[in-house]
Amino acid sequence: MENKEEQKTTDIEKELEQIVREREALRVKLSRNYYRDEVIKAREMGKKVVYFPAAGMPELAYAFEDCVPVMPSDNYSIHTCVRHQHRKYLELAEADGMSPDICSYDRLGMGLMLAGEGAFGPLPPPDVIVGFGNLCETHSKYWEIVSDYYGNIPYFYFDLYTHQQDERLPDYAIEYMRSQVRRALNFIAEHTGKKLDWDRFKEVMKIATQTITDYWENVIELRTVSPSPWSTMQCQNDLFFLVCYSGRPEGKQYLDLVAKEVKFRVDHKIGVNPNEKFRLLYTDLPPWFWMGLLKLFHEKGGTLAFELYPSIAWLGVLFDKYNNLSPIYELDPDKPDEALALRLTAMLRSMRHVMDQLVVSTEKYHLDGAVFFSNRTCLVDTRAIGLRQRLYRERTGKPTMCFQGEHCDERTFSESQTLAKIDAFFEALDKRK
Amino acid sequence: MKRGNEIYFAGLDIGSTMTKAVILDEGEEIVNYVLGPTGPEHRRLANMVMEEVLNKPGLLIDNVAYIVATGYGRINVPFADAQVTEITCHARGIIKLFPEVSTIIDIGGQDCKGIRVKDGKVANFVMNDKCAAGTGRFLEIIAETLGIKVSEMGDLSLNAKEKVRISNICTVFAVQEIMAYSAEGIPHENIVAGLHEGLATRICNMARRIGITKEVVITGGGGKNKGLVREIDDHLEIETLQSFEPLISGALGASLLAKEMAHKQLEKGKSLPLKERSLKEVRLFG
Repeated sequence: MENKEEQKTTDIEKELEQIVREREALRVKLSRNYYRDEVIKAREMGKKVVYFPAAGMPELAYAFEDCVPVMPSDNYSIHTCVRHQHRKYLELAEADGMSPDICSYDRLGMGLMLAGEGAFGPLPPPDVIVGFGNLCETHSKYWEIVSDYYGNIPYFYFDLYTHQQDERLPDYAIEYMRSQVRRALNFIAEHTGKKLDWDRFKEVMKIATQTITDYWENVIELRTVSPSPWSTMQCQNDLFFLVCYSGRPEGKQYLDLVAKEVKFRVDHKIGVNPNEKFRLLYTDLPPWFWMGLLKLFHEKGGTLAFELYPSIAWLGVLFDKYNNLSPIYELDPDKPDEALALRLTAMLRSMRHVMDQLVVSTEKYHLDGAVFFSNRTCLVDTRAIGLRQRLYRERTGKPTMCFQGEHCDERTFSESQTLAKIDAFFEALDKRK
Repeated sequence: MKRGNEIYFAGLDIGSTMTKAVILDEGEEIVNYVLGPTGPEHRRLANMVMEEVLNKPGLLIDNVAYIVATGYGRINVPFADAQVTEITCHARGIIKLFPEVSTIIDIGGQDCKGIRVKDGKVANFVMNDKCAAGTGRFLEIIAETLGIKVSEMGDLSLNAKEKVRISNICTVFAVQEIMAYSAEGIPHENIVAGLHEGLATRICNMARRIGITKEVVITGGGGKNKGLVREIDDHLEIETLQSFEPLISGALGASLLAKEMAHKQLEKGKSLPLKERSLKEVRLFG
């Protein structure tokens, strides 16, 4: 009897290993293909290059044949930083006069541009730039600088209603946003010489919407169970596919494999963290230069079981829909321009709304506390960090901790202080159990 | 473990500047405590401090049932049974001394913390970020610049007729400002008083993030500086409390936790100490 049980466990473990292997193989392949084969070689393959912030609208480039979306500041900065190649480029940007108080994504992006280098090689210069201030208003200036640096590259600033949206947007606002999407598409068409194919755009948006809906239903919704079948770190890996592969079948293919693994883990009660004692909310970007910090929470028994990125910030429109938080928007595949605009608008709502989202998450995902990151040069996120923590504690009764630093620059990060804070946080969590 | 019927517990707090040790008896009375400067060799220092604290009451390491290490050097105490952060230990120590405490402000050598206490537990805490400008190290650097001892700064500032305004929060630039004031012939007491005012503002602003409510206890080396304490009191408009020796709060808390942990082990049927201890075997550099 015992042998049969052991055999069954071994079979399950083997099956999971196979699922993980299959998913990992595709992850590595697609990650490499995107930068090495598509982005870096775009020009030599005769393709047009459209620069975007990594705020999730590559569909505007994928709507055209032979157009490649490139996210030089945030996404390529991350790839450089996680490989610990970033320091040289930060210093290069600072030597060029950029203040160390400016966002380290932008500093790193600038350094990479000045050096003409990067984790996978030099990025191709842009043919068109589409800037966007949804996640960070100061980014609009960054794109102007990039445009000037490469010689007055055509730059379209994508304007959306981004704040104070606790109520449903009026029809005229939605119509204005739809027009912004259409204008951006026409701008890309004009400056790349590529023909806009509306049916292609519609198909791209259909895939994009289906991908995030399936990901939400089959991954995010399943994370309510203990042990947690998918963690913040894994979701942040998935973010690459939500950002760079949105609207492409390959992205959906990968995220479907994630869903398969999550379902298997739920069915067999196999968590991603064998030490799970607490379930925690993570509310910011990770410190990309030291991803081991997030692993440390797991080692100490605190699974990062839910997070702001991507589950609230990137997938906000779905978070609200599936948690019945007003205003709720449906993404209509027959109105691709509207679907894209509404998805982008719901990315990062008013602070009040984000607080509601954090509180709802804490209850739904059975979280024991929250980890905040006072990200020194992120003027958007860090501005109200004290208030956000206080409101969170008042509304949930759960403890919080906050460490300081910067997402892509370890020079303002104190390891010993951060480790002391984490230990003290776990001591407080232990006392509550 | 026992000397006659007596049982002892130890707390060792290896801070960035000072190392502190406390021996506690079963009745939670402090049998002895010692303070010493922290050097680069934590392990050796831990041994020396431990030997010293045991020496006066005539105890041996084997007489100590359980040892808890705290402070940023806590992982470098090989003979400790457990490591607990200074946040939890400070709270535990201060709650013992001031059961009515609600807010603890710990001004240490290289960091500064605010700890909110509720129902005898840490409810919240905040710590300075990677900057020495609100810490004891800041005072040490300024004392060096002025050619005075840190221990003199508190009394000196109480004689100030007026206070200069130190506008810079960066230690390096503050030194420049102070050198300029000194060159102008401004008395040291006025400079130090201004410095304490700036430091108090910075510390209180940090602690406000967790909410400051009475009773407030100042602990750590900063708690020994009368001038700084007065500025904090003025800033908060309350009278803060200090223990007879603010430096030992963390080590005291560690020793109290050592007692709790020892009793848990005994309840589980384990015999103490849990492991063979020798102060000699860990003398890596001596």
